[in-house]
This record gives sequence, structure tokens and C-alpha cells, in this order.
Amino acid sequence: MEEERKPYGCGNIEVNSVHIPGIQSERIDISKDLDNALELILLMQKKTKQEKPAALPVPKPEPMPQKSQTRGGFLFLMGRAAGLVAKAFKEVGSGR
Amino acid sequence: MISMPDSLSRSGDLSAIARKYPVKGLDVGTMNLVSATDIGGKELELRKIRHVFLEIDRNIFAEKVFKDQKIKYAEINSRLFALGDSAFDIAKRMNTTVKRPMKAGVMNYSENVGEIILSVMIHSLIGGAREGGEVCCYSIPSDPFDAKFNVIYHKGIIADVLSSMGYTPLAFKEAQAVVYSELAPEQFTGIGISFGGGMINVSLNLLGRNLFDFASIRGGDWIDENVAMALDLQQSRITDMKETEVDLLEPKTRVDKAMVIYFKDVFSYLLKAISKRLSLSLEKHPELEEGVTIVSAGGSVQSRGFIELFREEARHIRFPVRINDLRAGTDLLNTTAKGCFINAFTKYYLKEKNERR
Repeated sequence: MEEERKPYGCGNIEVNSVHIPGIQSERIDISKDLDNALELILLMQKKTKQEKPAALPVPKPEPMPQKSQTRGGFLFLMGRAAGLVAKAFKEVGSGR
Repeated sequence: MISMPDSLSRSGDLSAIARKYPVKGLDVGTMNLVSATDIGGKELELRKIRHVFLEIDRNIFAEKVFKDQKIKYAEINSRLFALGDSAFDIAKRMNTTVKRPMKAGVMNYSENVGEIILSVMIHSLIGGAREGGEVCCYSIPSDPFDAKFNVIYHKGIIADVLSSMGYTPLAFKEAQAVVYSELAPEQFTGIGISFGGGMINVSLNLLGRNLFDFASIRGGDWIDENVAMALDLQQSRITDMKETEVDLLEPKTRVDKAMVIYFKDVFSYLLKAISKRLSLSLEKHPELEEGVTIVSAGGSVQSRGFIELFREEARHIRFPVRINDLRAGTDLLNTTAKGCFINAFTKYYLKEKNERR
């Protein structure tokens, strides 16, 4: 960087000029550092998964008796209906 | 928005991301400023400048001489300051000592131009952020356990400097940067130590997570100052010798011998502090019983025989866990800047991926 005028964000201090030639510099292959980043990313992702609370087991709903064309299903429904009719008669008989 | 692969199997995927979204790492050290910039997802450019300056009397050096001799300098409020290695060279010629924007790992508040000098130097390394913003992850020391100051103000000043250049600043503990840069083979589990000029920083990580970190003010400057006092020599001369001439394995000169005495004292002091904190961490994290690796980086590690002497001192300390390995980093002066780069990149990747979900 040579001969620049920049505010440098330092209040009332004025930088009149800057002359910085020949800064020590080298370029290296980035792959080792990116490999390190990759290792770290995979580690962090693994850790995040492990730290997530295990989902609570959702209980399976009890199978409801279903309307059925089978004989068992028909008898079940008939039994249920007879029960309801008997209950209704009983309530009428007791004056409720 | 950059497309993020759902699964990563090789660094080629990351290289494509890095190409589209370059991040920067910056080691803000007492002795050196080092930047790590991604160049097209293929190369990492490391730039370095000595973090020192010297005010020059205009009657002695004309600005034209500065330009002709390719001296690094800045004119601030009409005062002339030599910067970086140029300041060192001129100080030697004038038989004086350089000044520093930082001291003991943090901003040197007694230097009123320190902040602006730091700002100029950082700008010379990384320039302004590109349009649309850019993340710059910068190193900060941990709070020292043996001094009564913290790093909050220092952290804020660096963040301000970077913000004024258009960056989104991201602070990162210096010693954890060493872990990120050097302990990938150990799954980022172990202890990173940064032996800097101002302070020594320590961080214990378990699978990339920081379990503890602390700093000590007995860094390179403390050693140089004490050796200089003991031998009645100039501290800058000792600093120069430490980097180039001192042999800690086979001490021959008075300076070598004094260095060995102080280094051993610092190692013992530091390792005892580490052992104590390891015991506390072991109670909460029994998986540490498998042992940890210690890796050291920073300017002081460059001294010949440093790591051998450190290993020797470690043998005298009772650690609550096995020390699997104690080694030097692979790229001592660039380790922290690279670790900051890795942290910025990793954080960015995970953030983007989460936001995409």
C-alpha cells in the first residue's frame, strides 16, 4: 500500500500519508487448513445431532373397532345397539 | 446465497465455498501482526509485519529519504513514524529502542498514538473489506491469572478498528486458534499454548470445545526483561539474541545460561497451572482420562532447544491425565492467524447451513 489518505476511524487524529512497501508475504496451499475446517465442521455437526434431545416416543393409538362387513363386526354392532336400547328403557322405567 | 453442499466428503467442496466467500484471519500479537487471507479457495496468503514503531525527528530524516530507501512509515498529525522492521533498523542505527502499540498482550494505553498505528498496520495487511461486508476473525488473549487486568477494552478497540474498515469482527481466543490449526489429528482434543511476546495463552479443548483458557504475563518479554536485568544488558539485545543465537539445549554463554534458568522457571510455573486446571476439568469430563496432547506455537518456540527443554520440565510435573504428546506447531508464527481463518470459515459455514434449513 503506498501513498494513501484514509481516515482510519480514529477521531481527530489525521493520517496524512502512509507508505508501507514490501510487506513480508507468502502463499501456501490452502487444502490443509480447509481439511481442518472440514474435520471441525463434521465434528460440530455430529455434536449438534448428539446434543439434540431424543424425541419422545409417540404412543400408537389403540385400534378402534371399525365398521365391518364381516359377521363379527355385524354382531358387535347389534350387541352395542341392544345395550343402548336396554339402557334407554331402564331410564324411562326409573322415571328419569 | 452460496450453495452449501448437504454432505461434505472432501475439501474440494469447501474450496468452492471459500472461493465465493473469502474470510480473513488476523493474529493481533504484541510482537507481530499476521494475516491469513483466502485467495480464490486455493491458496492462503500470509502477510506479516513487526508490530513496532518509532517516531522520527524530521530534522534528522527527510521524508524523501524514507521514500527513496523504501522505509515503511506513516505521517500522522504531521508527525513522522517509522513502522515495522524499518523502525527496528532505524532504532539500531540510532541506538535507541522501538515503541509498541501493544504491551503484555493488550493495547499499550501509555502510547497515545498506539491505536492509530495499529489501525494503519492492520490496514496495510488486509486492506478494507470488500463490498457487501466480510468477516475478519481476530485473535484476543485470555484474561491473565497472574495480573489484575482483563482484555475487554482491548477486544473492543480491535473490533472498532476492523469495523471502521468495513469488516464484521469476530474475536477468537489465541490459544484456541492454536488448537484449531494444529490438533486436527487429535480431533481437536488437547491443549494449545501460544508463547507470545506479551503473554502465554493456554486453552484446553475437548472435540473442538473450549473447556478452559487462561493467560500468564510471563511471556517472551518477561523473560527478556529478567535476563537483561540479571546480566545488566539491554533488553532489545536479549530479544535479538533469543531469536537468532540462543541455544537452550547446550547453553554456552552467560545469556544462554540465564535464558535456560528463566525458561525452566516459566515452564514449571505454567505446567503446574495447567495441571491444576486439568484436575478440575477431569471431574466434569472423565473422557479426558484417555490423555491429551500439548502443542506449542508462537515466537518464543523458535529458540533452539525450546521444545526439548519444555518436555524435560513436563517430566517433573504430576498431571492428572496422560500427556500423549508434547510437540511444537508446524508453522510457529502463522499458527494463530490460520486458526482464526479456520474458525471464521467453520462458523460461517455452519451459520449459513442452519439459516438455509
